[in-house]
Amino acid sequence: MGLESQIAPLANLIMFIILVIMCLYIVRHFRFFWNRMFEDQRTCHQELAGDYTPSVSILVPMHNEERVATNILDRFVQMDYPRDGGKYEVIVIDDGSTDTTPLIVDQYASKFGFIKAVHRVGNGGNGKPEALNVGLSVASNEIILTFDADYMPPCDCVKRLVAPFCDVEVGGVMGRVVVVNSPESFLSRIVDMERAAGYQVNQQARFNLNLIPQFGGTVGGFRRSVLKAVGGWDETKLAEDTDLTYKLYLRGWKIAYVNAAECYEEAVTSWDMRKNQLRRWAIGHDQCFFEYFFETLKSPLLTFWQKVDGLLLLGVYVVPLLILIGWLTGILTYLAGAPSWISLFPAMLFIFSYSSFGNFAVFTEVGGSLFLDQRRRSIWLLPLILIGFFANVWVCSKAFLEAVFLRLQLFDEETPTFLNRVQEEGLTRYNRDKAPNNFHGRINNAHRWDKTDRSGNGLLYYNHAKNAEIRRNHSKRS
Amino acid sequence: MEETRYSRSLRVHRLHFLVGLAISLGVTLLVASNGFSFWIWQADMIDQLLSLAGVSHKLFTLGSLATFEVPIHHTPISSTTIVALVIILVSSILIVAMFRPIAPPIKAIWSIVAIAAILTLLWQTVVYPISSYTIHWVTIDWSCSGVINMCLVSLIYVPFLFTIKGPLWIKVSWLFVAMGFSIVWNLLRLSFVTATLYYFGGSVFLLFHYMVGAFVEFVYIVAFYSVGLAHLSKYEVSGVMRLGT
Repeated sequence: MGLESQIAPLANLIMFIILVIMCLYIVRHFRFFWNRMFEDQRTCHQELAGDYTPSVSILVPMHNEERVATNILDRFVQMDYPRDGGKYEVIVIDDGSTDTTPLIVDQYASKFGFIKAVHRVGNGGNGKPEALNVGLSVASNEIILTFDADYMPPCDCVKRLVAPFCDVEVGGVMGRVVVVNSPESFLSRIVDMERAAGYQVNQQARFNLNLIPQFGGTVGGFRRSVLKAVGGWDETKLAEDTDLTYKLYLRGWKIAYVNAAECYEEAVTSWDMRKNQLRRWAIGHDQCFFEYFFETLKSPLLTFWQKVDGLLLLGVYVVPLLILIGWLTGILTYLAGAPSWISLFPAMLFIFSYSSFGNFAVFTEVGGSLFLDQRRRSIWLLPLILIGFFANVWVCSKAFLEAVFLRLQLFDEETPTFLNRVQEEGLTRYNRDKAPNNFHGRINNAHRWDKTDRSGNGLLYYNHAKNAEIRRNHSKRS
Repeated sequence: MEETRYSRSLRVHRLHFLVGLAISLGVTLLVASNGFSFWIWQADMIDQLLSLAGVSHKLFTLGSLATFEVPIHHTPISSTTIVALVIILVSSILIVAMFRPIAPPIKAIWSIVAIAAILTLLWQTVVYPISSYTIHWVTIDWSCSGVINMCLVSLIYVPFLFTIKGPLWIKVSWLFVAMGFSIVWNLLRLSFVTATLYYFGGSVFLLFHYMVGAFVEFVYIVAFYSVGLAHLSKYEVSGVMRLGT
C-alpha cells in the first residue's frame, strides 16, 4: 500500500502534464486542418512567377548518384528560367563520388555553360551540409536554391520558388515535395500520405497563419546574403534544414511556403530505409530542440503565436516518446485507481477522446490533404497511419535518447564520427543500388515534364511514365 | 484554374454544420439522460452472450442500475515465476528490437504490450499484491458501457465532415453507421473482456480492457470517417472538374 500511494500521484502528475502538452498538439492539428480547408490561402506572390526573376544559383550535392544525375541535370537544362547575364547557374558538388557521377557531371558542365562542376576529391563524402557550404562559397548569384539529386523538379519550379523573394522580409523559401512512387509498396503509400499532410495542410496553414513554415532541406532556398550572415549550413547538425529555419526566424527573417512549387521525390519502400531516414531526422531535430528551445522562448523578434508554434515544432519528434510515456503512466493510473476528477463527465469525455483519436489527430490533416488533392481512393487508407505512427514511436523514442547522449557527449565515438555514421545510414539513396527495380530506372524521358492533372497527385505522374514505357515496349515488339 | 488548384479552399457548409451540431447535442442529451437505461439493455444483451459462451456470471439489476459480477480464482504467482516472466518479457523486447527483419511497427507494438504486461505483473505481485483466494467477485458496471463513444463519434464527424460541401444524406448516413457500429462493437467488446476476465484472470483483463479499447476505437471511428470523406470527395471532384471546363 505504501509503494502504491507513492507511485499513483507521480503517475497521475506525469499523465496530466503529458495530457496538457498533447492537448496543444491536438488543437494545433485541428486548427491547421480548419485553416487549410476553409480559410483564405496565401499564395506568396505567385502572380509574379516568371516576371520577377532574380539571379539564382542552384546547388545540387551528389555522392554516387549515377542513376539519377542525368535525370535532374536534364531538368535543369530545360528549366523555364532566363539565362541571360549569368542569372541562372547550376552548381553540382560532386562530393567524393566513386562511381561515374563525376564523368556525368563533367559532360554536362562542358556542354552547358551555366552548369558548374565542383569536385571534392579526397576531402569529400563528409555529408550534405559540408558539400552545400562548398557550393555556397562558389555561388555568385542572389538567391541560392538547393535540390537533392534524386528529385524531379518540373519546369516552372524555379520561377515559382524565387517569386516570394520580391518581399524584402522573406529570407528563405520552401516548395512542396510530392511522392511519385506511392503505389510501389505499402510503406510508400503511408509515407505519401504523411508527406501530403505535411505540405498541403501543415506547411500551408503555418504560412497562412504567419507561424513558422519550415525549410525542408531541398526544394527550397535562401538569399545568399542571409545564408552568409548565419554562417551557412551547420555541419554539426543532422537536421541542418531545421537549424537554418530557426536561425532565420530568430534573426527576424521569414520563410515563405510555396504550395504551387511542386517537386517530385521517390519515397522509401522498405522499413529498414524508413527507420534510418526517420532516425536521422529525429536525432537532428532533437539536436535543434536542445539548442533553440530557450532561445525561441525568449526571442523578442517572434510573436506569441510564433513562439508557441516554434516550440511545438521543435518538440515534434519528442511527441511519440511523450505518447509512449503517457500510455505507460495511464496503465499505472488504471492499476492504482484513477483520481476522482477523472470520473467527471467532461474529464472522461476528454480522456476517451484523447485515447481514441487525440493521439492520432494528424489523421485530420492527412484526410484534408488527400481531399484537397482529390485522391479519393487514398482517403480509404486513412486508418493505416496508425501503423506509421507505431514505427514513429519506436524510432523517435530511441532517437531522443541518442540525441540526449549526443548532447551530453556520452558516446564512445567522437561526435562527428557518430553524425557521419547516422547520416550515411539515413540517406536513402545509398540503398538505391540494392533495389534493382527502383523507379528511376523505369522512367520514360519523353514524359518527364508531365505535370499532374491534379495538384499533388504524384500517382498520376507515375502512371503516365509507366504507361508510356509500356506503350514504347509494345511498339518495339510490334 | 492553376491558382485555384494550389490555393483553393472550401467554404464551410454552415447549414449542414448546424444540423450536425443539433444531432450531436441530441445524442449527448440522450446519452446523459438515458445512459443508465441503455446500460440496462446492454447488460441484458451481454448476459445472453455470456450465457451462450458458458461464462459463469451473475447479473444484478436494481432500478436503473445493473451490475455484473464475475467469479475469478486467484492464486499468487511465486517469486521465481514472476522473475522468470519478467526476464522472458524483457529479453523478448531486446530480441525483437535487435532482429532486423521485424518491421518497426511490430517492434513498437510488441514492446508496448510487453512493458504493459511487466507493469501489470509487478503491480499485482510487488506493489499491491493480491492475496490468495478461491473466489473473487469482480464487478462490471455502467462505466464500462462505452456509451460515451457515441459522443466521440459526433465530436469528430460534425466539425470535420459536416462542414465540407456535399450532400447531407451522406454525412448523416455515415454518422449513424459509425454510431451503430459503436453500439455493436461495445456489446462485443464487453462480452469479450468479461469472458477474458473469467478465463484468464485480472491481469490479462486489465491489459485487454485498457490497451485494446483505444486503438480499436480509433480504427473504426477514423475508418468510417475516411469512407464518408471519400464519398464526399466524389461530389467535390465533379464540382472542381466543372470549374475547370
